[in-house]
Amino acid sequence: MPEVKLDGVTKRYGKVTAVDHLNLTVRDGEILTLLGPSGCGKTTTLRCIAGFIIPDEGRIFLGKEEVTRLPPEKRDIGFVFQNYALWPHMTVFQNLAFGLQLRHTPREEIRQRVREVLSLVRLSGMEDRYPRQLSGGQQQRVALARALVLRPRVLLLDEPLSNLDAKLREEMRFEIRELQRQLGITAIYVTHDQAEALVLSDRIAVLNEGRLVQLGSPEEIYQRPANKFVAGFIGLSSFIKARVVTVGADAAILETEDGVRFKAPKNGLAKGQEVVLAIRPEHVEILSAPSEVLDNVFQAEVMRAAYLGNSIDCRLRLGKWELRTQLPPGRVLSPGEKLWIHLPSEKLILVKA
Amino acid sequence: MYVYPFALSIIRSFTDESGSLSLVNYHKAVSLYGRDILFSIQVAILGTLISTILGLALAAYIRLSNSRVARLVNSISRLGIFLPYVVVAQMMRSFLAPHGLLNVLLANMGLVDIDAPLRLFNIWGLTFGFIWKETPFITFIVLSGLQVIDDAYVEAARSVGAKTHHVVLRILLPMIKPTIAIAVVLTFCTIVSTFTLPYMIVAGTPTTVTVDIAHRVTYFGDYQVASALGVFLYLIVGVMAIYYLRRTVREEVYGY
Repeated sequence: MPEVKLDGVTKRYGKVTAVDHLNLTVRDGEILTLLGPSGCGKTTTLRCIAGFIIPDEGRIFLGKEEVTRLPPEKRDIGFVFQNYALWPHMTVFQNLAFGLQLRHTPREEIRQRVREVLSLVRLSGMEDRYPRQLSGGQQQRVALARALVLRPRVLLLDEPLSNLDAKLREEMRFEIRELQRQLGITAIYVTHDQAEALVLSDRIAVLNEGRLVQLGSPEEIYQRPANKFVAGFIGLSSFIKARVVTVGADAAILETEDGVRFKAPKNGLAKGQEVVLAIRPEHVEILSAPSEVLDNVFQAEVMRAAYLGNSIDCRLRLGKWELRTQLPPGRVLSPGEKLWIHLPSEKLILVKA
Repeated sequence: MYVYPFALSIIRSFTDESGSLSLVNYHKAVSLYGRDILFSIQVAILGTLISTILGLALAAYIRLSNSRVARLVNSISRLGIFLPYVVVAQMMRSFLAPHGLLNVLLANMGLVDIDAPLRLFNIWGLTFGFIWKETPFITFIVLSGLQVIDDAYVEAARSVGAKTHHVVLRILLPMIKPTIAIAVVLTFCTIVSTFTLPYMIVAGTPTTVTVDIAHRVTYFGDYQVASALGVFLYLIVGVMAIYYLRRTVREEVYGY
């Protein structure tokens, strides 16, 4: 399977730049997710790769072949659409066989390949059904099978799970991941759902306003977000603005404008520098009593708490800042209640303001 | 009030001059106008067929192309829908005349000798007139069906290797089969029942049943034979109307 390379790809619609000089390489056999909010350019990028849109600038390569201006029917790319786009007048078999017929594949081979791919997506025996006779999840699998039956060089998936209910969506994430690994196909997956991206991807490319903001493994993106946007978009984060007061041998002291002081890893900080601290909910530890030995222990006030079944989503006030944390269920919290919290310095994420 | 004139014309068609039940009007209609009945069906089939092919091609072109030409074709193609048949007939009379625009153009291109021009006030001219008027209608109806098809269906086809003609013939048109069927039925019925165009275009015989009915009533005051001819028209149109209704009901009830 070839790698996919985007070299300075730009697409404009009038005065709006949907994709802005995007450089990206998708490695052979990996599944890379384009993640970002609505309008960030992820679907436009995917459609450029598919050939449905010709970029205004830049080049696209599949392996060594430049395909920037090649029509979609000549790219040998499988595409799974958000609404599945199964042709309603064709049965499942006909939907899958269509592309093979266009390639003049012998009839027996078509039957064989359709059978194989349907078994791969666990839909054996559904050949004669029409799309309207299938559930959403089954339609999604047929759409995937239709893209895979042609053994494409690259598989592109445009928010394929967004029309499914939450439970099915969660199941399908693992199925798609498993299928991609099994086939070893290079895949590009578009989503705005960060949980989906974290589960599915070998690497995630976070886009915002048409630009690549960060590229890395799910762990890198989650644990070391490049900026406030990524920290806020991937996972939950509370943000606190602070200034570097002192930089010691192994740590730095930061202070907020309302006088809250934090100890943080010094990593390249300079005195007087303005930074943003991103704090994940799971990194807010609740203490039963104040501690003399721990750093970054504060008394916070409960603003509100919401029961989520497996946890309690709690918003705390620290000085003028709001912190979000998740507590085990069963704990009763009332607004105004005071809690001792610990923010481990090594878990604080420092991002550009 | 709605059914009475219709029922009366059927009763009249089965009644002789003395008022008794008889098939004499049908006998007369077939012997005098049998050729015209066939002519009407022939023109309707030919006109419908060619208008449909052209209408489908134009609609598909407009749907799939983003060019200025496509937008222009789209605007121009609507022109014919709103023109009354009598205006079209009058235009066709000058356009198709022995020294009309068409013959002059063909002569300038060296395809026709202007001293022996094409004689088009016959089945060909009439069919041409119907095509001119009905193609925009079919384009309009079919295009309205095509425009509600999500682009994803087209893109899905292209991503599996379909070229434009595959997209049109294997994906788009089959997806709007009911709409096409309705456009075809309505066009066929319009052509069969139009009076003005054949009346003004066709010189002599054979001509269409609609002209014969008018002739029978105007010149002979013969409502019996005219009614019998009318029944032939009902039958031709009726078959198509039943198909149309069944299709519409099926679409409304079952959604396809």
